[in-house]
Amino acid sequence: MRIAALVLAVLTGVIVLVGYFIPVLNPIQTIFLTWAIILAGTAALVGVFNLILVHGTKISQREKGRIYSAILLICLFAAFFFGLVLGPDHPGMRLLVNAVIVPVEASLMAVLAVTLLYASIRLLRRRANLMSVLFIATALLMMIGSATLPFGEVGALNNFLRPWFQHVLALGGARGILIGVALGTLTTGLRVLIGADRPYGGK
Amino acid sequence: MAEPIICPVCGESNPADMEFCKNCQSRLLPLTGPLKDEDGPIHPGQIPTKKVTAELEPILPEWLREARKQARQSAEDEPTITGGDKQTKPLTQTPDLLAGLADQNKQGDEDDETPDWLRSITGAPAKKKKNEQDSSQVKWVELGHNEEPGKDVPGSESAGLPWMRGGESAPEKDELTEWFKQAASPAAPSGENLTFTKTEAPAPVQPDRSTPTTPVSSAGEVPVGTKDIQPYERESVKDLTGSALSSDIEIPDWIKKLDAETPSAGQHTESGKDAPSPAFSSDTDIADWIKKLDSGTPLVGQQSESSKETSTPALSSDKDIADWFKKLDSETPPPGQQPSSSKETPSPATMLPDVPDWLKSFDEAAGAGQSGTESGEALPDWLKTAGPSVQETPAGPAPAEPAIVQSQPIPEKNLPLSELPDWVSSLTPIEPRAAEPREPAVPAFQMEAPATSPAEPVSSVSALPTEPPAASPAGPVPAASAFTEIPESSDDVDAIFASMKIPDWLADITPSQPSPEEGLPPAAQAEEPIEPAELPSWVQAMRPVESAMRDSTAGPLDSRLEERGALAGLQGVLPAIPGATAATSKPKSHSIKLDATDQQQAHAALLEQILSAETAPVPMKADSVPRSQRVLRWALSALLIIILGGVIFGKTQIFPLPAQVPNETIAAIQAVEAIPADAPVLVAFDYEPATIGEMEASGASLMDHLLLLKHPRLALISTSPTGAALAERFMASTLAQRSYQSGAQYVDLGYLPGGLAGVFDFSQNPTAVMPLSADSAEVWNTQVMQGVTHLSDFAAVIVLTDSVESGRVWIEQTELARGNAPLIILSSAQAGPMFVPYVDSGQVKGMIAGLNGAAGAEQANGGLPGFVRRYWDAYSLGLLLVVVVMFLGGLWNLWLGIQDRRVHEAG
Repeated sequence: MRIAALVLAVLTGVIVLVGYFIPVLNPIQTIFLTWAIILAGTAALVGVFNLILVHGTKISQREKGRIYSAILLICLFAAFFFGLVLGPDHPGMRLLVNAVIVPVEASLMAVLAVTLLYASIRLLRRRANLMSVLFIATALLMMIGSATLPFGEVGALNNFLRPWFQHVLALGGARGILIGVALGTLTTGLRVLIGADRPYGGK
Repeated sequence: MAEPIICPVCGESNPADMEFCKNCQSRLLPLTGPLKDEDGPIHPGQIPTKKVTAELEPILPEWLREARKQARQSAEDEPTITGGDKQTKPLTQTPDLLAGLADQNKQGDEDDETPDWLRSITGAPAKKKKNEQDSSQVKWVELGHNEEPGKDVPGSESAGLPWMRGGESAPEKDELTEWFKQAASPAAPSGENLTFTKTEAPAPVQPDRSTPTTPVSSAGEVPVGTKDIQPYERESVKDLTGSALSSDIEIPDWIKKLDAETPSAGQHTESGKDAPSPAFSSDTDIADWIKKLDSGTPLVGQQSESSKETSTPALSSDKDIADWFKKLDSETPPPGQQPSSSKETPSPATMLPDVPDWLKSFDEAAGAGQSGTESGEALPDWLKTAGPSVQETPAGPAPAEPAIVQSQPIPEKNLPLSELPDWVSSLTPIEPRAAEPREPAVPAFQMEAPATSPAEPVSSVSALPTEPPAASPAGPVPAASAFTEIPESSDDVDAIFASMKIPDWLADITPSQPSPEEGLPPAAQAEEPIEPAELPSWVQAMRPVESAMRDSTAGPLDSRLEERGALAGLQGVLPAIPGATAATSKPKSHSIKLDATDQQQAHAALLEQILSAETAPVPMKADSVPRSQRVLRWALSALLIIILGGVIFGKTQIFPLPAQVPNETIAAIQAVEAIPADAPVLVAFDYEPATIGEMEASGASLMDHLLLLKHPRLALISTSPTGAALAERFMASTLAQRSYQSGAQYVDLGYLPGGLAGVFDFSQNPTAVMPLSADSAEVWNTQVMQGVTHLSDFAAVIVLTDSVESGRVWIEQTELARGNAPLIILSSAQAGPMFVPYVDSGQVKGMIAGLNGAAGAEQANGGLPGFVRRYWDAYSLGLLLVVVVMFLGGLWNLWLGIQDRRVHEAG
């Protein structure tokens, strides 16, 4: 079974990879990718079912926090029902999104802003070293350079320092990260193709 | 095939079936044969069978028992007499049978260099030994003689044993005497007519066992000669060859010269009464036997045989003989001073005051009558019986051959081997060349080798058990013969000795001291020693360790009762081997004191301190700042909420928009403006509801600008599950001013699953991947999506994303399928820097990152829809507030941190 899975995974990966270079194999590649999209959607559906099973178990066994599980399941079924029946452009569905989803997640981002601020303040107490100082200084410069003062811009910061940081330092770092990501992706793909990594199962 | 047997004497190779050597006639195989049963050899570790030798004591002859007794007594008295001689102590502790041998060895050691008789012959006063008498008795006892050389003179009879004085004076009658009488019953002619002195005898002398071995010329001279030899023979067996006398001996050149230089000697011999010295009476006569002696080959055998019958152990070493001759020569008066005849010759005692006793007695015996001793009256019984040839030898020069013929062999029937004492019979197997096959019953000290061949020179010697049987035929034979013939030649010994000169070959032999190995027989000198394990039974019986081993092995350890284990209750199952436990060495004691240096001790103390600190409880420090931290968080939250809320709800516009528009923003505006009107545009909403505030404000200006200018047909798609709802929110609320309706101006394709693969597949075949809208309606056949079947059919692809990954997927996976359709990225300020490389590379035509980038687009759009301006004061004030808080809070906490570290270091 493991060998069959390995052969299947490697063969599929090779066909999709070769399909980028050989147009004849594009139909086969498209079929495989369509199967992948269906499997991914099914996996999301399976995840929804798993979520329902876990929280339903908590409610049935009267575990601690079962009330939250009940709320989760109620919202889940309501969103599923309204989304499936009414559709995303239904006013009720829009209300559900605008009144629940967006404020909740936006609030989390607001809390995150306060937490980040607090952490940056405590950073020099916990770890007063050069990197901490550089991190704090860079953040301050970028924030100052991104904002404007009530009386106008600070030319050196807004027009020179911030763009230099953004297009030199940040760009360099971003390119490095992207190159590393590309190499990592290539390596991971090759390992999967040769069977060294088997994320589909097996050792 | 049997291997040939190498003769142990001459080294000649003989067939396996030969019993005697074809060359030297020596016995090739031991007479005793392989030892079996009780007599078998013992092996290492084997406990020898105990044999009580004391039972044999009654079997011994009386004289031997007495001798053994005296030997024991002498051994016991030895330490007191010698003043604690260390060498005698271990010897006296040996068994009885070896007591005499030990004493003999002792005496032999004392006589190694110069015997008493030899010292006394020189005329110099001999040193009196302390234990001379005792030791001398031991010596003659062991060798079968009864007197010492200095005591056998007739004048000193009191010093000798009674039975040695003659038949009438011997009060005791022992077995040995009788044995000798029996052996001498066919008596030989008188000693005056000794056959070996007859030089006229035929040269070829056939070896005959009956040949008398007593090299004496008369009965009275026999004891002298033999007694003089006795101590001599103890030292070396080689000297036995000196007794080989024959009539066919020729005088060597040195004898001739000697004769020529000493005319008196010749006169003396000629004036001899009845028995002129045969050695010097005629040069021609003497020459034969002297030559024989010199050559040393045929006469030795004869001598061996003669000595075998007469029991005269005429043994001497060539060395001692040579010394004797030397001293004699040196102290002998010049030839001119020698008397011409024995009658005119004064007594040696009168001439030389230092003449030894034996010479005196010799002189007295001569004075008593030259032939007076022929009758043998003065001889002891054993000598009378032992010397038949002497008594029956007719007076005057008789031919040697008749004397030899008349010699009678020793009656073997009288002395069977079984009747012999063990110590005598057991000694015979030692010598492989012993003359046992012919006369096995003859005592060892009388036995001679079976000289079947004249060429065998040392066969007689081999018969002696305690002395080496063989000797070199060159040197010692003439010396011994010359020595032994002196008393038989004439009573005027001084004249003879005075007339003699020691030849060179004899002088060369004299100083040489034979090594102990030289005195051994060739067999004994061989490199192959006798295996120590194969001990004969008689040696086994004589081993004194037998009792000790038996006692040690049969100790109480054998009867030990096992108390534990599988053998519990059994007794003597595992006998302890004596010495096994006692031999164990004491284990070496090692010092347990640790010698550690100061540094090592310091390290050990440090380690101990660390270990103790690990086990010691550490008090938990109370967190003293949780309230202040919580207050701080609340304070920060309140500050931000109040200030920013106030600014937002106050709709202030204090902070101006940035005047400088980023280049990527300008590129994005240009790309939007390049989109044809009423063209299909694909818009991907890949952001989360959490970032909806920034994303809607960042993308609203450009989208508003697009809708305002180009009125594109929009196809909304999202890779996020919430993307479709957010897209509807964006179109319904953010772009509400543009009144775009779903299905009329835009379609919502919904959620595109599969991530990277889904995007790629969608780019390849969008109609197949997303055939339905979010409302489950056909979209590709609608007016909105008219003319769009591929991704490249879209006029532009706009991606609103707050994630680098989703934006990168769209950039990378749709690049080939997009064709000429520009890709515009509307991202958050967080993800913006990551798309800058793609903008610089041209893969992305334009980008608006965050509120700062959207400010330029809004300004380009105439300030519409105005989201940037609405949030810009709050945004700018919030950033400044955060910067101030971070700076001040950072400094404060830095100082607190320094204080904490100081307190920690101080504590």
